[in-house]
Amino acid sequence: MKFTEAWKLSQIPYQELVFKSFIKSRGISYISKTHLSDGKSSNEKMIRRVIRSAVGNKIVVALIIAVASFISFIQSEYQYTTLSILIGSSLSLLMIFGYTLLYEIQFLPSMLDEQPTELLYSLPIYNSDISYILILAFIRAMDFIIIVDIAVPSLLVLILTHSLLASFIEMIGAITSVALATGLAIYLSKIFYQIANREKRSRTESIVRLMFTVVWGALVMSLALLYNYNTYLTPSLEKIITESSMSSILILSSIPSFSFSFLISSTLGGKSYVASYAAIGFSALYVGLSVLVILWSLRTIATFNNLHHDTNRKTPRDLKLVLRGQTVGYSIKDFRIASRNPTTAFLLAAPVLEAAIVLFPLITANVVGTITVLVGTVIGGIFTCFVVIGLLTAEGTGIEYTRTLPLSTNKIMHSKAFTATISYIPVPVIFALLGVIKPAIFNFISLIPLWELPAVAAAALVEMMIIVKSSGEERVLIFNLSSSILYFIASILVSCLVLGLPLVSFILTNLILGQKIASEIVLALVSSAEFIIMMHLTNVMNYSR
Amino acid sequence: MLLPAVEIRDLTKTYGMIRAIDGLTLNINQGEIFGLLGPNGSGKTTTMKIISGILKPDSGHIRVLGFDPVQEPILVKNRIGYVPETPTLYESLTVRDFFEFVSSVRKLDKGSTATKVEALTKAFLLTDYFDSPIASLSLGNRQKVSIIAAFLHDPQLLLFDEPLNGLDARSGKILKDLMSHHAEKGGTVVFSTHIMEIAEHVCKNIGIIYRGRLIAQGSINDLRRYSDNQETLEEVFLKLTNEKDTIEDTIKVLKNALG
Repeated sequence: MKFTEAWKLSQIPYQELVFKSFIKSRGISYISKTHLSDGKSSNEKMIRRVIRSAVGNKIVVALIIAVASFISFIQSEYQYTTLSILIGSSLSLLMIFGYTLLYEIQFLPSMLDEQPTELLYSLPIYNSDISYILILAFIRAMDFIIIVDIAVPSLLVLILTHSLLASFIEMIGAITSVALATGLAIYLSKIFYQIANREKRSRTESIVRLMFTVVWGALVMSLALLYNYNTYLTPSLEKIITESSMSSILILSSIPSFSFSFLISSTLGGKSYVASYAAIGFSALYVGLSVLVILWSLRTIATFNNLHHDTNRKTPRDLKLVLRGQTVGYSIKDFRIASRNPTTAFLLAAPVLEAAIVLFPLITANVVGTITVLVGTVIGGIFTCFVVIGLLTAEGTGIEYTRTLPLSTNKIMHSKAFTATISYIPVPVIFALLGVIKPAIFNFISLIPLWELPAVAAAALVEMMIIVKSSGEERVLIFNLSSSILYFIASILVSCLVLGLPLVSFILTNLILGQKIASEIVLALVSSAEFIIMMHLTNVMNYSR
Repeated sequence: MLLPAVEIRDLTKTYGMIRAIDGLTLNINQGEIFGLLGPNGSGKTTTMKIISGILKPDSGHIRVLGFDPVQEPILVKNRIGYVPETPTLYESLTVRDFFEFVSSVRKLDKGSTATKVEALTKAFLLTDYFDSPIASLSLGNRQKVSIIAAFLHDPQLLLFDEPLNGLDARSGKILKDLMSHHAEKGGTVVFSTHIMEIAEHVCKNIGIIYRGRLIAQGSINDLRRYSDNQETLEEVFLKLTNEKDTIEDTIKVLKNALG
């Protein structure tokens, strides 16, 4: 098949993939409402909007990569010296690797799941051509991102060094980073697909699956926080390169992103010959490796059509069911579907990361202080607000079935608030433990996060109420973050107010009365009042079902 | 006297410019199997969704088992078992997870649910797929999951929208017998189908919906009388929907076009 013909045809699986992913994350009800209310023209408008939204997502990711790349070059205090170029180039290649990996591991499992070329098999097209079309559909999904990945750092190096050779090496480094990120993303996606869709056979397998999902979630969240690493990494790298031994530099130059940067540095007159030779060797090695990875990736993407769910018949150990109450039953369902979806699996890692973020500044502190406790409590609360969004996104088309069950919208909101609040529990537990181990400014300060618990549940309820009200009756509890960003921002802001009010009342009471115990009682009262008010509001609000 | 299971008067539902239900009036008695027939897009699914409390009508009166599904959807949903036309289930859940979810939400008793799940799963030959993700099941097996879930809570009214979609002959036979058993116990079944033979053999009463209106209702013999004594239900249906003559012309044109 000719390239032009295959490229034209690849628009079909690409569009199918984008559309199916949209339906899954937003729900059929949205589509049926739009389709039936305004007729055919509106339906076509909606399809165009979905495609535009996908293009918008790609542009946003490309912009993030471009900005991350740019910031990498301006962090160093030795600006526009060989050292700053070395560090800027290394970090920018690291950002490219990280963000490309992040985008691809969110996107590729859907490609495995949706089988976007299924329709083409009924047409007189060779299977090999369909594989070719699928590869091109993948390139369509990555086009802007790949262009920015390669162009931006190369241009930045050219502008800063005026050296075509340095710019060319940076370009090769960028291509290598994209290739390695893609290879790793494909490998991880295949594993996710296989593990997430494996039949439930034993407790050990369930634990392995849960652990994998937590690691997956931690990976996604830490990649999303890559920007922050820039600030910490630049001074450390400057120190290693200027002060450390040759062996440290050699180890550094063996890392893919750094090998190309050391090579650039040597073309710009870098002093270390050993590092230069090592950089040449490692760069050549990574170029070779990336060629192999590209070939493997293309072969693997071409086989995505043939990956199907495991349909082996196996006799189950029994046909018993574990029944629970409505709220817990719904929460467990949410937990299960979120853990099997690559875009929402980060939810399972949320409590772990939340605990780590809160615990980190406390390890070195001698005394548990008021500010530390208040900041930790706020961070924990904000994390919970993100968990709510994940729970709403995870619902997908299954909500159509839930609408046939005797379950009110209020009950669903309460269940999701319950699940989200569970993710906050590590915060009061950590502080309570620290209160026992470490000396505190006053005895009960470590209990502040516990008193904040009702406010966290109230914030989750406020957030959902805003989203549900703004989404409209037919789209209840189905949320797509990318196309509802304004509601998302509004709901997060209001939730933050709800989270902050008890803490502000603590501070004010302490300022007026100068008594921490009394302030803590006020905090607990305000927090509980918020929860009671929100429960009441969600119960009296008139949702259609 | 028993209340009608479903009582609908002057029901309307529009989607923008499209009038899906146009002044529908319909009564379905308790203890009967009622077949809802009609061409594609005639309003069968919309009617089912309004009866089940999923959709709100624009106007008209509706009572289901004595309750208003608009004002009291939860009470109605507690008493009905609904199998949608396309089973959009939570694909990443296993069959076991799904039944646990439905049973928990419906607050069912552990003992009796276990007995029902075991009996229905074995009857529909779904045992080997019990721990498989729903995404890996065929259309027929998904339909079976949806059917089993509809029976778990002993509903008074079963609403089946094209329930035989994708089902094999064995499962179809079991389902028809289950529907008859349900009606014998005093329960009501409303189901839509395009397969005339099934409607003819299973249903005590049949309603034909055309462009959002009920154009005929009664037993198969009543319908024959309304349609100038057409022999089969298929002929009755085509006659009542004014498609008998046009369909013959359409077939002629098609034969010419296809050579």
